[in-house]
Amino acid sequence: MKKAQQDIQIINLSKRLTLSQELDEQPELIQDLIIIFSLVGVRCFDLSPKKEIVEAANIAIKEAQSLSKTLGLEFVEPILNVSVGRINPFLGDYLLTEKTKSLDTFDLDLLETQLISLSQLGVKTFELHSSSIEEDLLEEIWRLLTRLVKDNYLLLNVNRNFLSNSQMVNLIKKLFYITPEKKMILVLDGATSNYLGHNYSDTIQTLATTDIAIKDLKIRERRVFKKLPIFICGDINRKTIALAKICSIDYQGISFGDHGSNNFYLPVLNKLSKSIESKLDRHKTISRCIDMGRELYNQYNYTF
Amino acid sequence: MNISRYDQLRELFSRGEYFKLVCGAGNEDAEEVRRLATIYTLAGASGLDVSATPEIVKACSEGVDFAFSCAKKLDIQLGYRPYIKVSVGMPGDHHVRKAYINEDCVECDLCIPVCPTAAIPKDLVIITDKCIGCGLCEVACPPKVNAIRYEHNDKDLAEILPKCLEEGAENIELHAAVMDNQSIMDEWELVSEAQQNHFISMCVDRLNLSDKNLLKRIENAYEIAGDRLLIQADGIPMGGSEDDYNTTLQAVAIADLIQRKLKNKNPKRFKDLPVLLSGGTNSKTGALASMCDIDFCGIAIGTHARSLVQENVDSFIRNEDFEEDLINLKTAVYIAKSLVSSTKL
Repeated sequence: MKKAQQDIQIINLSKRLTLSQELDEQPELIQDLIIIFSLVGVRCFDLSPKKEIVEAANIAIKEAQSLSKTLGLEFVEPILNVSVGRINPFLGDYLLTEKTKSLDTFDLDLLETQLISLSQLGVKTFELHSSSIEEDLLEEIWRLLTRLVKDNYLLLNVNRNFLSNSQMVNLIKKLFYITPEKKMILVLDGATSNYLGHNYSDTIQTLATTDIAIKDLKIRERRVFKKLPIFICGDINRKTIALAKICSIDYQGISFGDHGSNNFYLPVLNKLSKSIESKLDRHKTISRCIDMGRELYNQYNYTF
Repeated sequence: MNISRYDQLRELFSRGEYFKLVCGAGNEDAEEVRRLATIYTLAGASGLDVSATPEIVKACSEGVDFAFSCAKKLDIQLGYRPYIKVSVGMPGDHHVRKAYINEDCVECDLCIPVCPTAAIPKDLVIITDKCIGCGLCEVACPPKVNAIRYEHNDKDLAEILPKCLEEGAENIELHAAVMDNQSIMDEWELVSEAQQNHFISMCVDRLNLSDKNLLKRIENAYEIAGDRLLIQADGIPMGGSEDDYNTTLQAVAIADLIQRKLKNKNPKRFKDLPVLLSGGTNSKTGALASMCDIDFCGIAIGTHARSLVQENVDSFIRNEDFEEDLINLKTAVYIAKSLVSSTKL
C-alpha cells in the first residue's frame, strides 16, 4: 500500500471530503463512501469524533486497498481527520456543549483522553471549529491539539457568525503563532447553514470570509502568512468555483460537507444500495459508483 | 400630483436606482466638494454624501445649483435635485478620523503616493481638510516606524446637524462601525431627532462587528427609526478604487447577509428595508449583486467615483476657471455618467 506521508502534503488534504453529520449514526454508509471516494481520489476524510465511525473508516480503507488491485486502480491511503468543537450551531454539539464551552467548566483532560483514543485508531489530524467557543478555551484546546499532532498540519475552522473581521484575523494570528512549525491549515466557512441550492448567493459568504483572510493575512502580512494554506468550506455548491474565479479568490483546498451529501454521496450510495450483493456484482457496482463519483466531482469543476 | 421628497426617495429606492456619490465624510475641501457635486449631479447622481459641516453642505448645494444652471448649455436634462446627506460617526470609526504624522517619522515618503486624496504634501504635514481617514498611509508606513496616528473629527451633533439641514442637507448618516452598542444608539437617537421627516441612514460594516452583532444593531436602529431607516451595507470602508469584482465582493456579501437573515427571515418588518451597497463599490457592484440575487436600493460609490474624475477636478482647480471650462466639465460628466449608468441594471 502506498502510504500518504505523515507530513501531509497540502495536495492530499485539499482533496478532502467532509462526511455529513446525517451519516453519523450509519457507520456502514460511511464505510461504503470511503471505499468509493478513496478510489475516486479523495485524500482526506473529515469524520465526526466517534469511535465507531473511525473504526468503520479503517475497515473501508482496507477494503478499498484490496479492491484497488482487483479493479486496477491507483490507491493512496487517505488521511483521517476528526472535527473538534461546536461543529454546527444549528445541528448540535459534539464534544462541547453549552455547559462546557468556557474554560472554567470545560474538562480538558476528558477531551485529551477522547482524542488520544481516536489517534490510536488512526486519526492523523484534527480540525478545530472555533465558532462560539471562548477564546481562552480555544487556545487551550489548540495547544492540546498541537501536543497530540506533532508531525502534521492542524486545521483551524473559522467563520464570522460571532467574530468581526478584526477578531477573526486576530484569533487566527494568535493560534498560528503557537502552532509548531506553523503547520496550520486555515478553513474558512461561510456558516450560513443554507442548503437552498446552486446559487451564487448561497456561496458568497464563504468566499467573502476567505477574501478577508487573504487580504489581512496573506497580503498585508505577507512575510509571515504567505504560505498559509487556505481551504474553503460551508455552502459549497456548483457556483462556488465560478464565483471564486470571478472574484479572484485563491484557495488551496475545498471541503464538501453537508451540502455535498445531496450532491455527492447520496446519489452514489443509492446506486450502491440497489446493487445485488454478490461479490462480482458488488465489484461492478463499485466501479460504476467510482465513475459516478468522478463525474459528480467534475460537475463542480474539481477534478482529481 | 406633487409627491414629497421623502416619497420620491422611497420610490427611487424601490426601483433600485439610487446612486450616491460619496465625497467623503472627512473631506472638508469645499472647492473639491462643490466641483464633484456639479459633475455628479450632471451625471445623474441621486444622492451626494458630504461631511457634516455647514460650509461643506453649502458648497455642495452650490455645486448642485451650478449643475442645474449649466445643464442646458451641456444639452443635459436633469430631473430632481440630488439628496444631500451628511455623515457623522463615533470616535474609532474610519470615516470620521483624521490622520497625522508624529515625530517618529523617518521621512521615507512612502505615504505620499498612496494617499487617494493627495492630502500628504512633501513637508509631511497632512492637510486635514483633504484627509478622509482611509488609513492607506498607515499601511504604507513601515511597521518599525509606525508614525501615523489619528484624531477624531469631533462634532457636537445636536448643534451641527440643524445647521447642516438649514444649508440644504436632507438626510443624515451615522457610521456605526464601532463595537459599543449603547453609545451608537445614543447617537442614533440624536440623529433621529434632528431629522424626523426623512430617511436616516445607518452605515454598518464587519470590521468590528460579528454577523450576529451587526444584525442586532440594525434591529435596534429600526426600533428608533422605523420605516425611515436606510441601511448602508459597507463592504470595506473606503475599500479602494480598483474596478474589479474582488474589490466589491464584501459590499455585496454584507447585503446578502442582511437579506438572508433579516429581510427573508422577518419579511413583515424588514422586507422593504432599503439596503444601499457601499465600501469598495465600483462599476462591477451592480452586476455582482444581481448575480447574487441581492435586493438593493442603490449603490454609493466614493473612492472609485472620485478617482475617475480626479484629473478633471484637479485641472479645474489649477486653472481656476471651472465654471467657464465647459468642455472639460463635459468630459468629466461623460466619464461620471458611464459609472452612474453601470450601477443601474
